[in-house]
Amino acid sequence: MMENDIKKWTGFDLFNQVPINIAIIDRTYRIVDANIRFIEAFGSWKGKKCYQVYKNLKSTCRKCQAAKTFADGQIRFSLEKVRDQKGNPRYLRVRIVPYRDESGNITHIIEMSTDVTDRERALEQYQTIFDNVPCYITVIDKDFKIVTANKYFWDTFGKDTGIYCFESYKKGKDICEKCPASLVFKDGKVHHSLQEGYDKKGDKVVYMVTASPHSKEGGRVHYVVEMAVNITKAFLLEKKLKETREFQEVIIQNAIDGIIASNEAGLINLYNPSAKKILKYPVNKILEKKRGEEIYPKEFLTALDADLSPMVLKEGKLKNYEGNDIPVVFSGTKLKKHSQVIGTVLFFQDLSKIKQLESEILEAERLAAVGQTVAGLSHGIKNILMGLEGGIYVVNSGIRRNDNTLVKQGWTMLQSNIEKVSTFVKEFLSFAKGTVPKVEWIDPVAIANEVVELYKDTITQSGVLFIPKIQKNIPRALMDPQAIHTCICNLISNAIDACLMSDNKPSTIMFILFEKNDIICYEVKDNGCGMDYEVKNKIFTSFFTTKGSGQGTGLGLLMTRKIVQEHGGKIFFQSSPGKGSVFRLEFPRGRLPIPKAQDES
Amino acid sequence: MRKILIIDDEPDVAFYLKILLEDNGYFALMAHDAENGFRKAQQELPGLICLDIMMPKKSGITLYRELKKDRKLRKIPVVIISGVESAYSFTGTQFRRLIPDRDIPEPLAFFEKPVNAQSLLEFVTKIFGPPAREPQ
Repeated sequence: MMENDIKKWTGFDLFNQVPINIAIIDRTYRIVDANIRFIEAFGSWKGKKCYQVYKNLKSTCRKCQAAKTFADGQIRFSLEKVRDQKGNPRYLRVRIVPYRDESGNITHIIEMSTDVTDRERALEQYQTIFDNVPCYITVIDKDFKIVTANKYFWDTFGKDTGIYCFESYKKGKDICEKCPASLVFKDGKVHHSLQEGYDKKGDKVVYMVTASPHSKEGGRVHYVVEMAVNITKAFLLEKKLKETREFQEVIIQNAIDGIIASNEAGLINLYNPSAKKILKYPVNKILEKKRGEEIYPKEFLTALDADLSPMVLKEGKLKNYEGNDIPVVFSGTKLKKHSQVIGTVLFFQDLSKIKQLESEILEAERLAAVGQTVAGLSHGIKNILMGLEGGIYVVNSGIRRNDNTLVKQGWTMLQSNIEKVSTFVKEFLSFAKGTVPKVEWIDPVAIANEVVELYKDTITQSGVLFIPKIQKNIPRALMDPQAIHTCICNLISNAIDACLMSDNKPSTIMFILFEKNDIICYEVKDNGCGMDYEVKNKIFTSFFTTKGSGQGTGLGLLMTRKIVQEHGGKIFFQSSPGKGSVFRLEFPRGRLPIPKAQDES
Repeated sequence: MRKILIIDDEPDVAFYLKILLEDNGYFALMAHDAENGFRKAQQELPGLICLDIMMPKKSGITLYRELKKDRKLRKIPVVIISGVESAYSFTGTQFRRLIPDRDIPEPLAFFEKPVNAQSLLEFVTKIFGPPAREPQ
């Protein structure tokens, strides 16, 4: 029996013990014998065709290797995908050997197969990982030619951009300046470096490369594996962040405003040079050492407690390193991330210089007023001199004419002009002294009402209509009550005179008090005689009076302006001849004088 | 007519000038503001007007303009008598700045207060000719 001969040839034990599946197949593809390994893998074979057992097919396989060996007698190797007895796919590495009978005809083939499923699967997985791992993998030879690369690499850099790594990665024409691969070829160690290249569209790609030796033989590296991680987005983001941060840093460091910020724990973690200039704290005495509340103005702390931040352009005081109070204007707010408080920030400007400047300006304005007064003085003295000369002349003329009345008139002229001299001198001296206003917290409304009470009868008796319009509930302000009273009286008294000089009927004087935008305004408006150009130009010159002798010293408006200026205010007027005048005194609260410390209580 | 109108809001000044001129043979009238001055000029048609600048309601400059625009009054010579610093303020370019109208001539003369009586009388004599009678 042929079968017996074959068994004899293989030896029964060997046949069953070799770690491969062996099946013997005849020309009709019927399995005539198989070893135990085969049965273990594929189950019973008796009476079955090979394609039935291997692949559960009804006819021969499409690329049947056995058929070829039956035809040409060649030994064949192949990788076959089959199904085990549970129906699971398996990979077999198959070797097909022909069996010839004595006359040399191929009557059977012997199929010897090994299960390589695990290895194949691993290979498949490696390929998948290799292609899809989110980094570029290239294998580079000593000439910097890309031997192999993963799909991700080709997808990004393009397959037809060149055969050299520098062509692909950087679209360059020669080896890169800082080439990590060449370092690996030199010393056989792993090298890292940050590189910038261009993708197939020409857009910049930033990547972190790890170059490692692949196969070393006799201490020489033949290939380098480069693994590169694309960090373009992170890199650009980081760059942008860095730029933004630097930009902000520049702004903070160069801001005119002092800036202090404290962190969630309340410790100061930002203190810019302007803040240092104002507060004089050495950086190491304040940063992470002081708490915000130790520095912040109390108004800001109150607002923070009451959750009233942000505060914008408020005035307050900061204590500097030397313990002195610095007046500041500040804005500040809680810093929030979503609704969580992560700190506070305060912006502030030193007001002491501004305050000083303001008082300097006021002083300059006062001096200018004094200067104008001196100029005006000569004008006043000229009139007095002429009055005196006139008095002497009239007395002499009366004596010559033997006219007693004329002599008396002359004496009266002399007396009134001498009186004028003494009045002028007194008033001028008090004016020139530049008294400091005695400010206290007063009710601007109360002053207005006092003036109304004082004048309402006089005005009505003069046949003039008096219309006071006093806004109520104006907060108290720091003013010199007597001085302000004098100012308003001057304006109203001028208005009465203007009305008396005019034929406009009904003559009206309006007296208005209001506050708008933190400016307290007193306004006196009349429809009296008004002023023409020359009079308007001279109204603030001392001793200029249009009221004739005996009425007014000519210092009224000058005095009013002086008081208003000393309160940091301004005087405005409009006038048209025959139609009337408006005088307005404006007192911005921010410019009102601050009382001396002992007055404050 | 040796008639002179003095317009000055300072009664002492006006009175002094009135007596001074009267003593020298002139007939002097007074007005203490511009409006009265204009009315008296129309009524009396004086031979000369002495005009102050700084006056209530209407200044001497405005009155001067009005006088020089009035057909009847424009020929009356006007002399400015003022305490304002110097004659310079009312002559040449300064005057033209106040009164740009070229048809209005500059005032004949300017006397600064306190007035030199001798110069004023000499000027008045030039306008009216020598006095008819000796001063008292």
